[in-house]
Amino acid sequence: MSVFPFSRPESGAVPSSRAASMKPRAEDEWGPLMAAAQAGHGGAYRRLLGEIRDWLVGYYARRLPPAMVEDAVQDTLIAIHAKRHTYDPARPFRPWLAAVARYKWIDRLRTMARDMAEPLPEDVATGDHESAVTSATVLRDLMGQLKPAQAEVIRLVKLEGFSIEEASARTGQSGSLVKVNIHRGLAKLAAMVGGKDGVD
Amino acid sequence: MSTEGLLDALAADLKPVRRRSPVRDAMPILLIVAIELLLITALGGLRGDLSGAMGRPAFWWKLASFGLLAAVGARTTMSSLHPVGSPRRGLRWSFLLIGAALLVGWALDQAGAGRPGDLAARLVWREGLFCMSAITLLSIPPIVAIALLLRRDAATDRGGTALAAGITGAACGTFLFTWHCPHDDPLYIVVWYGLAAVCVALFARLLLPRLIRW
Repeated sequence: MSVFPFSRPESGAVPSSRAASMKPRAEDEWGPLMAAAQAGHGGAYRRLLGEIRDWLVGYYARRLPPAMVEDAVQDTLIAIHAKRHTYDPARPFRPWLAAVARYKWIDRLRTMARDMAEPLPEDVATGDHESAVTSATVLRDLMGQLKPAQAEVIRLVKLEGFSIEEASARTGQSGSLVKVNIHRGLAKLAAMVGGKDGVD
Repeated sequence: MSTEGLLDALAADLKPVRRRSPVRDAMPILLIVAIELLLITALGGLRGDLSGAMGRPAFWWKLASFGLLAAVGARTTMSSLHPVGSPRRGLRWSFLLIGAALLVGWALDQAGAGRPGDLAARLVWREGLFCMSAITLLSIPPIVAIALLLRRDAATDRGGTALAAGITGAACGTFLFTWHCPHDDPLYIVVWYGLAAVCVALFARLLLPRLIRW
């Protein structure tokens, strides 16, 4: 561990009492594979990318609608390729990978929340879950921290597939207020996720 | 393009890369500060009473405060340029350092290091505005160098990293200006140098996150 006060403690360390009984995981080889890739070894890199791809699919499947997963995976793979020089082989690979994946996930949430600022015509059907923010598993934990009005309309429209009009009728909020609450609630969710560590 | 196709394309595009090194990353910033200091010296910009000033505690308080803040800011920025790094702890140290510097400045002021006279006489607003402008100009080259580093690397806390970069640039600018400015009144330093540093740091905080998005 560095003596400087700013360095974060090493993550991914395995207690020595358990180390002998654990069989090596594929993920343990990712660090050396990336080190080889940094040196220009194409075969190691291709293998690494294939295994990382599978990990990323599982990661984003828990956090994004199914239709967005492949796009997010490709986006993250490109980022890994562009920023591979920032990986230090002396440190575990998985925290580096998880940090890149989380960064791209939060960036995607912010972009989606920002895009929702565009006004929609009243007759556009919004049962389309392809514009939903995250999977229900992660969302429910976070939504408890939103204002009740925001959480309710996000649950109705994004999780249960009601239209804006139906959500408006159920909650008593106007159509415009429903949209505003969804936009603000999603933005706050993105901010909360951005302030959390180890969302994995 | 399918993901399989993308993987093949990325592997085919593979070239060796040089791993980032915090020490190597910091070199351009050190070089820029050294060049700016050399230019100040070469152009006759050193304060005329430098040898006398070196005998006063207030001069060393200025120099040490801004020099240390620049070092802490640079260390914080460098450590947050990779995805796992975070500037938060370093930023807390920076703010602690600023607090400590303010305390020492207050103590020096109480001990009589301040210029005699009322507030207007001590603040000398025309000169103060010049100091602010000069510090801002001197801060620009270090911040540009840091911004280029930020674009090349992969900071995941863009807001915090941008603030650390702004603090570093501002501290470098004030450190350099210390060698020129004849004012040692702690109140003057805190007001005018402080205002300049805050403006530079805030500007970096607002502008850099957009530039370093990846």
